[in-house]
Amino acid sequence: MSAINASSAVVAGSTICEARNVVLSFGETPALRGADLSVRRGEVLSVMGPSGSGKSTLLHCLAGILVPDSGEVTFDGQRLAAMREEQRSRLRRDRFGFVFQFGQLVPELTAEENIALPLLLGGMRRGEALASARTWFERLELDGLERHRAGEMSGGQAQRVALARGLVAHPDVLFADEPTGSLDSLTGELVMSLMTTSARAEGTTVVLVTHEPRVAAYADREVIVRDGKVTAAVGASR
Amino acid sequence: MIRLGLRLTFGSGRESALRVLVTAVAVALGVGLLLAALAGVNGLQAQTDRGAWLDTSAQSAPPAPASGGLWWLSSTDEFGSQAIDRVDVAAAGWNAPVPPGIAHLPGPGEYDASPALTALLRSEPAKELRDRYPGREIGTIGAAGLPSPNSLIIVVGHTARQLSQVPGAVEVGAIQRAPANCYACQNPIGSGPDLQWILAAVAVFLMLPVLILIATASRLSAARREQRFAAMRLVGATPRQISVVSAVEAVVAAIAGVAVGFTLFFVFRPLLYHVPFTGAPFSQGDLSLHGIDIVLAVIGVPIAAVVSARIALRKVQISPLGVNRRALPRPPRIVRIIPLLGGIAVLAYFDAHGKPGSNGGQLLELLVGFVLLVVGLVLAGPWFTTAGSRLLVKRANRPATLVAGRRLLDNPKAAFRFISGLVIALFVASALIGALSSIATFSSAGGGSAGKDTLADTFCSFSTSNCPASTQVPSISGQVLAELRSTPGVGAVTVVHENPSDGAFRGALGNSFGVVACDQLVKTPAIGKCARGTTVASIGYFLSNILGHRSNAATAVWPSADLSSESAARLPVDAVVVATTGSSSAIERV
Repeated sequence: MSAINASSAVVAGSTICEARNVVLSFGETPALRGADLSVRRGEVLSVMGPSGSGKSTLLHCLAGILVPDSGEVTFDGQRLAAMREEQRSRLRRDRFGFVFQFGQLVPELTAEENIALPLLLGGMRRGEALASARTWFERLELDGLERHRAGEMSGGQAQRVALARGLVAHPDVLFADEPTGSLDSLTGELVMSLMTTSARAEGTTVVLVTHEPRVAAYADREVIVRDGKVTAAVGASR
Repeated sequence: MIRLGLRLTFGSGRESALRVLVTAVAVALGVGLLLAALAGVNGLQAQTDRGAWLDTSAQSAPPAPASGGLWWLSSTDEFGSQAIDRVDVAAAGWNAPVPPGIAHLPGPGEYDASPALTALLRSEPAKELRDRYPGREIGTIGAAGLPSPNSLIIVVGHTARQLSQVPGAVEVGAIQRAPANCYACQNPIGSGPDLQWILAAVAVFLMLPVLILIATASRLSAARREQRFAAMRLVGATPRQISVVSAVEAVVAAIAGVAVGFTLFFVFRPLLYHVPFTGAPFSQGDLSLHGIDIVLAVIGVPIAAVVSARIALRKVQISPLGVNRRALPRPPRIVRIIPLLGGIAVLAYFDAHGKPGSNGGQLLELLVGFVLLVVGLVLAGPWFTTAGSRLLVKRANRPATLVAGRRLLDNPKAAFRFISGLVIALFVASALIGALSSIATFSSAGGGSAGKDTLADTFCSFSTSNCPASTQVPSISGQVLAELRSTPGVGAVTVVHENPSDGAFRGALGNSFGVVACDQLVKTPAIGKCARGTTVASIGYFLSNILGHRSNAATAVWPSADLSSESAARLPVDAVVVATTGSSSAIERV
């Protein structure tokens, strides 16, 4: 199913994602001006920077959502730009997970259907996919919300459903773009705690984009993006 | 994916329901219109087929066998504004063919009439109609021989000896059963094939606004739908999977629309029977559907609906980020109006320089012009929207007007998309009404009447050079002319003679029809007048053009034919033109 060979050697601490001299503009507006970033397998990396610095764009490039104008992005040693759109879609489905600022839930589906969505898209039988999705409710303190739709949940609950959806397929990398941006501080703490705990338990690499130092503190390592470039790396493994 | 698509279609609340409803209504309209057009085509074909026997001629029918054929003379008569098809027949042997709709040939002094003509014969004064057909009615022409239930047709019987002496009568071996490729056919549904083309074109072009409506419906609450699809793309749905999900909704709506469309067609079909496309209503069963028609509507329209919805949503599949990164579209450029100007130019050119001679050429000219106009309207619409919006913004005095203008300017293509279906539908409907009106005018203009008062009987339906020798009339007896002139209400009678040097005149005068003595022509001014000092004039156009189609015939001035009156009078007769007072009694008596 995957475009990438999942049986490739997994070496803790080896590079799983890499951006080299990535340049990307939206029309006349440059977003990335030669960004370099290396993400190590199993780490929780926070990407910080002011608004408009290009940190979200860098995350989108690493996840294969955007294709850079120049430079190179690799995942597991394979160039994302060389893949066809179908292959990149399968990569997102089977090897990546996503948690964005706004839940990105499909409003017509219930919480359990939303969590099962990547599995259903991958061809898993409905019953099996839903059963797999239900195992996340207790872990993420979502009990009783299985049949609730996105509009019937609080922001924190919806974000935890999105987190469960991001992790349900046991991805290699979880991309989180301002996951607490729309939450109050207490709920944000809960979400971050659950996210990092679950990801570490699953051995999932996390790339976390945020502008809040409090959120970045959950990461093993921090980098700062400024004017479209990764300008500094802060901290070593915690 | 299909199950997920159904889940999303039926679980999305009122927005999705509205989208499905509008799409279903659009599909229902499309299917209904398509079925009506296809049934109309079939109906015209049926009418044309049933009237084909009236076009029987020596050219179209096989030669008579040794056992004897059928003497045949067809002509058109008029009563009021209605055309009566008259066929004079005489068996030339024991095995003579019999026209459809009658059991056996009428003998001398007998006739078969259509039900509508029978009723007319009984209701009108004998001197105005019944006396034209001496003899005894022995039967009614059945449905198999009637293009339309109200067709006025009469089959008059003669002896072979009598009929064979009549100019124009021919002996045929069989009666034609398939439509002939003829100009000025006897069959009153002669314009059927043209109308079939028009209806087929209308069916195709009417689908365009329907598809645009479907595309517009697909864009209803598009932002939320795009958000949904973007979310699915983000978690790994491939473009193909999104296509399936979006197609499910369109298919559901299309299936509902097809069912409603068929229901609408069958409910309203009885009304279609009364639509006189050809001036004649359809017979029961004419507006039936063939298997291929049903397949086309059941499969073709839903496929078109899905494709239309798919095209409308194609941008959603580009990025899992949805519309977040979408830049403002570039304003439409002025080159967009080129196809529209091209369409206008094509039609204007042919209008100014004359239509192509062949039917195929005319069809091509119309098709090219029409397609350019339709495509041009769709392409030019956003540019006109931009131009109008700029004007609106420039002159806006109120905030609401300013905001409206700016919103239109932001995405003129999307703004025009909402009304483009209506624009195309109005254009197609206007063109259809124009075409049908033209055909109706053309049809009603035939029959040899000049204005309301002057009548003409042309002995050859074509130009003189095409008239077979058997149709030539050497002369009109003085007694006939005297009877005509003495008929109450008749002012003058003019005899048009065959042009003796048709080829030479053709070069000098165009399509010369015949010659006429100026002392007679002056009494029938409806067909023009002689040039000053002329004794005999050459009528430079086919007479039916003058009588039927040229509104300025009375102002035509015909040049000299360089013949004496005596020489002209000895030439075969092409037509008799009768000027009356215009009273219905006088016209019908003539």
